[in-house]
Amino acid sequence: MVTARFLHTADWQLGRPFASVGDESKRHRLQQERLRVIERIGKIAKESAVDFILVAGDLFDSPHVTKATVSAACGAIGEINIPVIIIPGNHDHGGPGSIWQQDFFLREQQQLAPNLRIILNPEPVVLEKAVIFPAPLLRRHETTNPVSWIRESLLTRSFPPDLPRIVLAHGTIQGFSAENDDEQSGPSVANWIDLTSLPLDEMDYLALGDWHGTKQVGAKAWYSGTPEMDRFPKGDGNDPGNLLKVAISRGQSPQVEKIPVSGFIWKEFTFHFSEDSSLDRFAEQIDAFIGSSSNTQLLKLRLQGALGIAASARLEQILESWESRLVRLKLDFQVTIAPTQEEITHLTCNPSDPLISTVASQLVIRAEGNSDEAAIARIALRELHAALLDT
Amino acid sequence: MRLLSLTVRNYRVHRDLTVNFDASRTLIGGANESGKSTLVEAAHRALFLRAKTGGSIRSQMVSTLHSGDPEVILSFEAGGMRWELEKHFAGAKGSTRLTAQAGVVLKDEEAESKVAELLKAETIGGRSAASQLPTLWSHLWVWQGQSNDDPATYTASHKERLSKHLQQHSATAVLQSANDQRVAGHIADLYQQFFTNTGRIRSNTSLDVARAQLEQAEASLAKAREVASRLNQAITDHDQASRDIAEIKLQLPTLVEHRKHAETKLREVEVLRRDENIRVEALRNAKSRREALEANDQTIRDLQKKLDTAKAALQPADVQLAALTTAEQQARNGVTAADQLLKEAIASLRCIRIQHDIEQAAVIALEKAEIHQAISTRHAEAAQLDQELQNVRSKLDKLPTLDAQGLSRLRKLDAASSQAKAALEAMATSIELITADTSVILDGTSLAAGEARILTDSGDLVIGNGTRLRVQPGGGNSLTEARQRVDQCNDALSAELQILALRDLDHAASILEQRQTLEPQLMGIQTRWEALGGTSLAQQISRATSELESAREELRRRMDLASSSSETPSQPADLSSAKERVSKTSHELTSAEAAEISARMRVEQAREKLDHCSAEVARYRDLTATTRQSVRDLETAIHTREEAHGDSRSREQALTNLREAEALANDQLTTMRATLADLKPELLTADCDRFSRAISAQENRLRDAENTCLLARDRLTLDGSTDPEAELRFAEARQLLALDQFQAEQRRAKAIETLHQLFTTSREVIDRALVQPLADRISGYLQCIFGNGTEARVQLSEAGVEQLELIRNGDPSFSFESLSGGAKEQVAAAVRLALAEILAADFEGCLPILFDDAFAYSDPLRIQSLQRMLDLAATRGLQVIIFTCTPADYLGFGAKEIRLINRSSSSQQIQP
Repeated sequence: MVTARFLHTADWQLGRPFASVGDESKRHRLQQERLRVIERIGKIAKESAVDFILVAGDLFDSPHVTKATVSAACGAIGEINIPVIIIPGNHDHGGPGSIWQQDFFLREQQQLAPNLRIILNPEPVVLEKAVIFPAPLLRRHETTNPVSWIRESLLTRSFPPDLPRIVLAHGTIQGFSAENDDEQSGPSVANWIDLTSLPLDEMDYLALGDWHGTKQVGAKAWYSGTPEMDRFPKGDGNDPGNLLKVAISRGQSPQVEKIPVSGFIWKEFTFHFSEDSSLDRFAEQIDAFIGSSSNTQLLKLRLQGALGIAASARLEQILESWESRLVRLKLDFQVTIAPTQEEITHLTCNPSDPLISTVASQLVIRAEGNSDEAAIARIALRELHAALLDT
Repeated sequence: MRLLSLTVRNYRVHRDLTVNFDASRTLIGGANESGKSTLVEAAHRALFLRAKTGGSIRSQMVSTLHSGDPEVILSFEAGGMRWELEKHFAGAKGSTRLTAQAGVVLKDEEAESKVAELLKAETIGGRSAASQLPTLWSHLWVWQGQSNDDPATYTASHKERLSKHLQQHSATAVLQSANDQRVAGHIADLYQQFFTNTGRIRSNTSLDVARAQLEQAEASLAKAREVASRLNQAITDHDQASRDIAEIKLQLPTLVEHRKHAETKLREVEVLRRDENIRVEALRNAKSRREALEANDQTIRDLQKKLDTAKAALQPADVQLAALTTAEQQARNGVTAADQLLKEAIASLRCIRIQHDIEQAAVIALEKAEIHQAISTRHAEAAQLDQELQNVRSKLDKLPTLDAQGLSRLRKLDAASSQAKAALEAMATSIELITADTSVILDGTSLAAGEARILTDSGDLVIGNGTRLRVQPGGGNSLTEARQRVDQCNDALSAELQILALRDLDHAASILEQRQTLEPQLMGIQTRWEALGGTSLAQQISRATSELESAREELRRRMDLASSSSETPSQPADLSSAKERVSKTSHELTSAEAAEISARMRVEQAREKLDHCSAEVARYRDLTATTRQSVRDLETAIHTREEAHGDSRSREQALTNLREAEALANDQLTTMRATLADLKPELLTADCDRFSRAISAQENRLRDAENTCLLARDRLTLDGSTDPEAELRFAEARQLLALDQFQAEQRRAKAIETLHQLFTTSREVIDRALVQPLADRISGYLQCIFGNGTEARVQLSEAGVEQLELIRNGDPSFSFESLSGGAKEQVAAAVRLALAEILAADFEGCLPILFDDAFAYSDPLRIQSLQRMLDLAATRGLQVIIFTCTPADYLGFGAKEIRLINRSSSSQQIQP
């Protein structure tokens, strides 16, 4: 009985630009962290004495990553010194002109990462400890079932009977779509892995990639998820930032262990301002939520409710600090900034300043509602407020 | 504050003058230089100029007519009391004295201070007086020539007090605070930072920069998208081309195989086509031989048919010809008979015509003879008359040529002679010797007794011997002249008689009588002669003779002609019988001519009939001849053809053989063609072409696809310095960021714009509310002049009452500057009155307002309505004092009127 031990991972997406992060050094850190997770994976691989590492697609973020990314990736993979077997996914698909065919990549692979093996053809690969049935993607949107060939292959070829069989594929299975998990892309029905077309009884493990959270989708089928978080998780079941340590034997249930490896933490926080005084509560809660390691955290902050003009100015200062401290602050700002009753009174009911009162009264009326005009009137009120304080 | 009276002494033209003012309305009239303006000035200086002021300002006040320092005494009410202010303008020695109602007297400095306090204004002295003095209470003192000044010039100094009162008037309107001004200024500055004066966004503002950045980001994004889409296109191209290559390589061998098959079939077709041609040729030969024989056979049959027809036609034609020949002979006989008849008719006609001609000639000859006879008779008569004429004419010729005129002339001459003689006798002295016993000799001639002698000249009358008398007739020279005239008359008469060879007047009268008898006789004979033909008669007779001759000659000729023929014609005896015979013969002639014409027509008819018959005969003859000829020709032709193609039986046999051969050839060809058709040669060719085209197209497509593959691969091979997809993400993120930034800036700019607009409009509203009471008062005064629809708008600023605008009945507004001179005076007056009314609150509700000839540009009609305005001011408590050189214009004002009389020594006040 041969037992294959391996790490199942996917969606490294090296070279991801993180374009929405404005600060260049923070962007650089996010990119670097994706290389550093390879080191952590290598360490776990050595500690676990695995036979090989399977990367189920999307090693790179694009089929045209830069040379620097190629070299860095090959360098990091070469360091692991254990066979790393990969298939192209939709991000780094193996179509014409893809990175896998570029001379530079081939050279770097040869020089830096001889342990890296790329499977570009849908043909069985017989390893020492296992047989791999790969489903490499040769275009971004594959409309045919990439695993449909496997059943026929079993009929026409014979394989060592004691070697466990692993399907290595990248794409969505029925029920949920990886594309929907992506921040930028829209929904798609491409790259659909039809599990029902597979002779599941003949297989021992399905190593799937594309879905960024770790998820078991069948008795033997797993999405490993991305090892390094790269987006704010969606929903409670979404669990990114892990890899899977797997041990399989022919005809046995796989033993799967989830190991968290992510360096950076992506979090979400929602707060509702009911009155100006809730600003203090917000400041305390966000402090507690982030804790001390703000420089490795990314926060999606949803703010709702309404604040007065003076309070909103304070909120701005608080947010300014967090934007600077965190790796990224993604703000979903739905707070209505409008003068409080007190502020309105101060602005409009001062008989010694008749002109200001008149103007402010008109603005207060205009500021009602959700129209553009109202929004502009609110800004005008803030300006007026500021002018009154300044002069 | 109210002026009560003014006394001026030694002040310019005034020696000592007192004017008492009415509490409300005073009209001070006076001609130019009567000192009106001096009074206005004196009152003002009494109030505002310190008495100790010297210099030019004082020296201008000093009178050149009256000695002594100028003095002004002004009584007025102020602060609830009456005051008498007395100023003695004597330079450094000048003095002021203010006496209160209660009897308290203040002097000099104390008095000046009290006055200033009462007036709530400074009093002026020293060097600055000249320049500052006119500005004091200039809203109340309307100096001559300054009535149409801009209200701002005299309202600035009262702005504080005015706004204080205005705020009291209006509960809601308040003056903007310093805070208001600062914030408004700040907002205006912000607006200036963002916007130009024309409301456009300034360059290099944060908004402008954000926009530029957005544009740049959008451009970068478009570029990145283009790069990414090029890559995607390359991938798509490569995929498509790869699929194409696979597909073509699969299809190409099949196409080649198809073409080869089609080509084989085509070769079979070619062989069959050659065979087909031979068969077609054989069939054509058989057919043409059969057709040739059929044609000949048919020709022979046709000829035979024609021959039969011709022969059949020949016999009836001969019968017809014989009948026609007989008819022709009959017609010819008819012609001969008709000719004979014609000949006879002609002969008869000729005979009658000769007879007719002779008879006509005889008639003419007889007529001519008659004419000749008539003329001859007239000729004889004329000859007789001519003889008579000669006789009368010779008698006349023997008489002197005297006419009635000549006789009359002679008579006149005779009468003249008688008159002359009578006249002479009247003048002469008549001496008649009655009896004498002695001789009496007159002029040597003795005078017998009873003899009377007339002396026309002096004569000596000798009586006896011793007595000699000289008789001297009277008349002198006239006597001589009378005598001469007698002689002349006698001479003239004698001469005339002589010329006419007349003896005397009686003779003349008898001659004239003879002539007058003979001359009508002559005329009568002459007329008769003329009536008979006169001179032309000879010609007539000669012509008649010759015509008679020729007529007789003609008759003779005709007789001769007739006698030559068989019959001898008889000659008629007279004209009437001759005419009768002519008439008879004419009838005969007409019937003979008719007989001749009818005979001629019958001949022509017979001839025509004959011609027709002859033509018919000739035609039938030709016809039968032609038919006969064609019968001969046809027989020859049939014979010739039968020699070549055999007789009808052998031809029948040959035709049967030829038909069988043709049918055989046709069968063979049909079979051949069916075989060929089965192969579908057209489709085969098309197939070959089609396959060749398809192969070529697929080969081209293959080449293109291979090229596309190469190109796509080339495009997809990047240098690895950048990742286009990552670049696209960056570009998208940057664009979103720039858009956010831009929108935020835009919103802020709009907010600032809104604020600025609100500040501007609100400030106007507040300002307007503040000055509305003033504007309302001005409007009230203006409505007195311009009517109810008139409204004034003003603004109160640091510079005073500004931006004065006049609105009439909703028309566009007029600014003060744009008004005419007259309207300016009136509007300015309204402003002054309104101002005074508001400021009067500080002076127990009354202020004096002095107009010094202030409406110089206003027409009389306008001045009438202007008085209503002035009256309104007085009603509202102001003291209106009008100085005018045309007081009559202001009669309607109903004021207390004071007139100044212009006197060099002193001005006196006259009460109306």
